[in-house]
Order: sequence, then structure tokens, then C-alpha cells
Amino acid sequence: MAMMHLNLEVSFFHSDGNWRMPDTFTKENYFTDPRLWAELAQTAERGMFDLLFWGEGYGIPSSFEQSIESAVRWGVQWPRHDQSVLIPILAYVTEHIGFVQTTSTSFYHPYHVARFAASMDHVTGGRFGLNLINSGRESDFRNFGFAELPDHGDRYARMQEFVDVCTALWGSIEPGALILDPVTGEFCDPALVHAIDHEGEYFRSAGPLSVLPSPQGRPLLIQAGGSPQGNAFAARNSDVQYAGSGDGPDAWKGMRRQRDLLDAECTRIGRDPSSLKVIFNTYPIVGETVEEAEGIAALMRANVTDEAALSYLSHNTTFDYSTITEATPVAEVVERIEKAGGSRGGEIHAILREQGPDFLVDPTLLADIGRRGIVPAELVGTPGMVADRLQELWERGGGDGFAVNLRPSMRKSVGMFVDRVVPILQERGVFRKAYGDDETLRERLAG
Amino acid sequence: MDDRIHLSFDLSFLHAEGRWRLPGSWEGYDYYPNPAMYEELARTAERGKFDLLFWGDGTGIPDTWEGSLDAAVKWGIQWPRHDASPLVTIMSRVTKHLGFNLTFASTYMHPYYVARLLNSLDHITEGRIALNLVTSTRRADAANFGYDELADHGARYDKMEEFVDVCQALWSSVEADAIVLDRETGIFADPAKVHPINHDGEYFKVRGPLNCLPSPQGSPVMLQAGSSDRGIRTSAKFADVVFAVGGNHAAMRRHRTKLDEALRENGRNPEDVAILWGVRVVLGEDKASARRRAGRITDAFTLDAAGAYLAHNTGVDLSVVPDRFTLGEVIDLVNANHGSQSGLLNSWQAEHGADFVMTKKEMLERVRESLGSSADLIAGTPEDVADQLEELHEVGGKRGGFMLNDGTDVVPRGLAEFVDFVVPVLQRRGVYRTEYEGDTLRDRLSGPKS
Repeated sequence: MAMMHLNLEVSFFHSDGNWRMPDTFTKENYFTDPRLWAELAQTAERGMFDLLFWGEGYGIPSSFEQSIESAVRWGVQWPRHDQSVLIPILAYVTEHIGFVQTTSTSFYHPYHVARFAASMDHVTGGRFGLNLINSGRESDFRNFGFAELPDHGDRYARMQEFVDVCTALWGSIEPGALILDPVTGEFCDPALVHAIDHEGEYFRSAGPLSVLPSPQGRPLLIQAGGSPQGNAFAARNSDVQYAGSGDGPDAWKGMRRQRDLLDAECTRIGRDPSSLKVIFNTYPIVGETVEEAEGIAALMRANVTDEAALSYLSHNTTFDYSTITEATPVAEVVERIEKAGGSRGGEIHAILREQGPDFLVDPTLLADIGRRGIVPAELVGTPGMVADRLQELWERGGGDGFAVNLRPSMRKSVGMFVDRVVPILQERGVFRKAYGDDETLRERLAG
Repeated sequence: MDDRIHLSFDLSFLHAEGRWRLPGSWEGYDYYPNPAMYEELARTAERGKFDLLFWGDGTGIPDTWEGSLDAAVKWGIQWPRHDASPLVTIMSRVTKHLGFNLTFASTYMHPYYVARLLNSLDHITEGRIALNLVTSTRRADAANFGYDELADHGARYDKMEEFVDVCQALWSSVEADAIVLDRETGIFADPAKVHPINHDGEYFKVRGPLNCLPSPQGSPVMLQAGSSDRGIRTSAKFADVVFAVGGNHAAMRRHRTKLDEALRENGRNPEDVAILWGVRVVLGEDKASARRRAGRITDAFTLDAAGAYLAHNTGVDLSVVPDRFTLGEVIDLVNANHGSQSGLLNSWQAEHGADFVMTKKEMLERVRESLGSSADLIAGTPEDVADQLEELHEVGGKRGGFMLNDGTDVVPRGLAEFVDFVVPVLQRRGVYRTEYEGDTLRDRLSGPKS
């Protein structure tokens, strides 16, 4: 019987108000200490998680008031270090858990990323994955020299070619090419090493890769987000899709819909749909009692100031919400967003759909939307309640498991989930009690 | 800077270029890139109070010789070469004082990526990271990043200088005391201390600031290795440490003098910039046996392998030379192809003059021989080696020390022998540290404050 998969999302323990919670960080002992992360990886491995997942962003948010000031002041989605540097250390203190780094296809050359990923796959012993994204955030692309954000479709075309180049490079040295004969001095068989000579619209690369074939051959590939282009990309290229789960009692319906869309896309291109896993994001806040869990959620939301919430919302939609200074009809807000090239499909658009064009939106409401973005608090309760809900969503939604976003504390919230929620799922027979022997990350999650 | 010897160890090709064949190599370990082996090397280097472990970088499999990958692939010439940054973090985990250098090509990478990666590494190594930039003269590298031809030598250095400007601006874009972390008010950082850089140059356009916290060293220690006049000018602009070919006294004096002049022209104090001289150390019971041991690498190279090595290092397919030619003709050929005169061609010219005639086979045999008995070779007993290191240190101006090339014969044993037998001699003579000092790699490289 298939088991639920659990991934641990670890991008923002240290920012977005989480650092304000008691028992989190101090100025002297902040999130850059690798020992904290080693402990976290070991805890997650005790909880049999499939992998640790890092998102990525390359700039300090600057959409709100066209300035980094609010994000800097309140710690909104920053700082963000290159967390891939932690992975080798964490791989060394664990045996089974995998590691996924998000990487933008908009800014890097695929040769560098293919080489980096293959090297990482060696050092982790076949436990490395890449989440390939294209970047839609102004603060990111301005750091890499782009004045204007490339068009959405163009970003996907580039991403497709990027993964094509990477895939060719990962296959450029056949397994078994290495000879290492000390008597003749023959190191490797040239007949099994192939140039790729890629010449495309966005990239050229001669290859082959200068890295020996890695344990997984290529890293686990994840795609995040369920837009039509995202679904098409995932069906064509990925092992796993990460998708939003939504909230409310009917959240499973949205999951089912997303699974169906992916199935249809896979079928359309002749891929076995069961070979593409879908993992839904979830944001549980767990307490010993309902009151305790709700108290944590309330405090987390209170820790996000209005300005921080608006800065977050502006960053995620690439629209400057400081320009909405008074109660404004939602239709007008949407018009201004679209005129400014901000992204569609967010909560504002939902309000327009559900409340009608004349519904008034003011800065307080917008700040609440931003706050709910940072602290979704859609799954707040005791370990039993959280386990019930995850099991229900898994059974009815048709997904393969969850990317668990735990907040606010690395130590306490992850420990709580591992020690209290995981055993319930194991007891019910829906989650593994042990890792398999000698599995690579892909074999375990997408095999 | 103190006048004692500083030591660095080059990890780049311990696993390639015939060294993997030598008896005793990779003893006790699976082959590259087994991280456990690198852990052992890091522990050993720290036991020997080294300043730095060094990784060079090149991203392509050499394909210059006969216009093909085959010879390099077959004999393991400068390949495989993995991204070393994952191994650096593993080595940092088991050490406290040892520094680590990574190399990137400013010709192909973006400075925002490199600045951010090095900042992040400086955090997790707690102030022990160094960055070496290269312009990259290797065709195989260029082709992987989409270029048919190497850019002009001067233009590559222009780009490197701009690359460094961008990195330096990014590393200082968040001031050291910008982080507030006030739980009561929720104020995380002081926006007045976080600055966009708004760089708009010839090669790069970067708004900044870096989305990272200030790191322990603020910026990594900067290394640079250019030996051409232009390379020296560039290193004089930003390098904290230069590395150069060691062994030939006249060449060492010339390099130190030129660098010092260039530093003064840039308003920098020559006392602040170290040179690490690249030398190859092989130990033995006496000089003759050490030389025999060093010579084993010659036998590990076939002529075909030597051709791949030479073509890759010069950037020019020297398989096309006629049967007989003069050194001057080869050097002209290299220059005409925007190649780089490897130290080898230069040293032959210095020794024999441009009119010296050789055959293709002689050229390749000389390459093989030079691997076993190059001018940078220091072979002998621990006392002999210490004598020669002291002498070279004196010649080089006593500001810096040595980069031990090519894995001291075989690893891990060769490094352990150096640490156990040569280091104590240097310490006894008072020319080498007995304890680490300072909080960061930069502190340690400058030595104790007097």
C-alpha cells in the first residue's frame, strides 16, 4: 500500500516575524550556525521525513514603496543566504533524508547548475534534488542585471531549454565509463563520454559534464506551482510537483482537481501519471491543546506588523500596495494591479470573484491578507487533530503527501511534529516506520 | 604581515593526472570524490597548522589536443573536476582554524551569485573562506558556457576587475551593525545601514544590496594568480594573497618586485600582500630517493596524456606543430590563438632561447619530464626540505609562504608525512607557527599583531 510522503520546508524559520517568538533565535545565535541545522536534519530524520526543502530568493523585497526599507526593517523574506552550503554538512550527520535546493533557471547557466547538482549528488550519496523555478520577482532579477521582468511564457521556454541542457549533461557520461586501471594508466573509456553540443535559443553548451556519473544519475527534479504552464512542465520533466493546498473543509477538492489536471497532462503526452508525484503544501501549527495551538497562531500573526504584511504581499504579487491608501472598490484595485503588471490569481482576485466589483478594500484588509499569507494557520490544533486532517486530505485529495511548513521554531515546532504527529500517522499505517535500505532520494519518493 | 612561513595545500588534482595510479595513493579510501578522504586531509592540514586548503577550478574536460576529448578522458587529464564548494563545507565541519579557498571564473559566472555564495560560506565556516578568481584561458570551459572563442586577454581582466568591484560593493552593502533583532518592537534591521549598490558597468548591472547578513570576515580573503604584467596589475588592485610559481630565484624576485611596484601605484602597502609560492615537495630518505619518488609521475604519464595536458594549459592544439620547430614558433602560435603561455613554455624559453629547435616527440617528453623534475620541485629529507623552504622564503621577500602543489606525491599519506616530519623542523627553527592565532583566516594570514 502506498504511504504518505512528508517533506519538511525550512526556508523561513528565521524571518517574517518568526524570530520574534520566544525560544527561537538571539542576535548571538542566529540562523547561520550550522549546528542548529545539523540538529534539525537529525530530528527530521528521526521523523522519517523524505527530504528538507529550501526555497530560494535572491533579493531583498523591494516592491512596497519601491524600496527595500520595509522589508529590511521588519525582516520580510530576508535575509536569505545560499543555503546549499549547509547540505553537505547535513548529509554527513544523517543517512537517509534528502535535500532539495531551489534554483532559478532565469539567472544561471545550466552548465554551472548541472555540475553543481551532480557534485552535490555525489557528496550526499544520492540524496540531492533540485527545484527548478523561473523568477518573477523584481528584487531577484534586478540583482542579475535585468531591468524588466521577462514575459511569463518566455520564462517557461527558457526553463524548458535549461532542463534539457542539464538532462543532456547528466547523461553525457555513461555509467561504467570509469576504468581506473593502474597498470595501463587508462582512466576512463572515451567511447562512453559524449559531447552534447547543445545550441538552442537561450543556451549553448558543448559538454560533456566534468563530473563522474552521480549516484542518482540526475538529481530528483521538483517543479512548484500549478499554473497550466507549470503543469505542462512538470508532466514533461519532473519527478514531483509541489502545489498549494488551499484551506477550508473542501481543500481536498482542490487537491483532487490538481491531481486530475496533472493526470490529464501526463496522459496527453504519454507519461504514466503515477510516475509524477504531487506534494501539497501545508502549514500546521501544533499545540498540546487547541488553546495552546491557537495562541501560537495568534502570536505569530501579531508579530507581523501591518507594514511587514503589506511588504510581503507586494513582494509576492510584484505590485506596490502602498499605492492603495484608502478604501477602494476591489475592481479598481485589480485594474491597477493588472496595469502595473502584477501577478494574477491571488486573494484580491478571489475577493473580486466572490464579493463583486464594488466591495471596498482598504489598507487594513490588505495587511490582513498579507498576514494570512505569512501565517496561513489553516491547520491549527492538537497532534491528533493535525494527523486526522492530514490523513483525510491525503486519502480524499489523491496527493502523494505534504510539504510541511512548520513555524515558528526550528527546535520546538519540528520536534513537536516529529514526536507527536508522526507517531500517530505511523500507528495508523499511513506513514513509514523506517527508511528502506540503500534507497536514493528518487527511489524513495518517486520510485 | 609577519615574516614567518605560511602554508597552503592545493587539492585540485590529487585524483587526476596520473597521481591516482601511483602506489599508495587514495590508500584506505574509495576513489574521488569520497568526502571522508577530504575530511582526513583537512584534519591533517590543521594538525600541521596550515593556513589554507586551496581548490582551483576549471569546468570543462580538456578537448584541445587533437580537437578531441579522448586523450584527456582516457588518461584523466584535469578531469573529473567537481564543484568543490560541497567538499569545503564538509572539511570546515571537522576543523576550527583551517581556511578554504574556492576558485571561480569571472568570465563565466555572475558576481551576485559568487558574492552571495562566498558570504554564505564565510558564515558557516565562521570566517575561514577565501576566493580566487581566474579569467579562464581554457577553451573547454568557454565552450560549456556557450562561447566559441576565448575573449581577449585584456578584456577578460577588465571583466574580472569589474566583477571584483561588484562583489566588494555587495559585501559592504549591509553594514556590520545593521541587524537589530528587537523582539519588542519587531524591528529586525536598520534600513539606514542597508544600501543598494546600483552598479551599472560595462559587463554587469546589479542593484543590490546582498540579501545576506554581514559575514564574519566581511568579505572573503581574495586570492589572485596572474603572472603576466596585466595579471599582476589586476592582482595589485584587490588581492590579499597572490600565488605564483616558486623555485626559480630570479623569477621569484622579479615577481615580488613587480607586484610591489604595482601595489604602490595603487596606493597599497606591499607589506600587506602575501605571495604563496607554488612548490612541489616530495620527501625521501635522501635527496636521490626523494627525486626518484618524484619522478614516478613522469612514468605515470603517456605521451598522449602529456599532449592533452600541454594543449589544455596553453589553450592551443599543439598536436598540429610540424615535426621540427623552434620554441619561438610555438610561442607565436599560442599567442596567435589567444592562448596562454604556460609556465612551461616560458621556462623553456628562458633556459634555451626562442631559437631552440625541438621535435614534437621531444616536446612531449619534456612535458612528461617536467612533471617529475620541474623547477618548483623540492625533494629530500625533512631537513633538506626545510632548508630549501627557508631559502626560498628569503628569496621571495618573507611575506607569505608556500602553496604545496600536486598533493605532495600521493594523498593522504604525502600530506601526513609533510605535517609529521617537515612542520616540526620549521617550528623548531622558529620560522613557522606552533599555535593558530586570530579569529579569522584573514587574521591568521597576517600573523600575530606585533
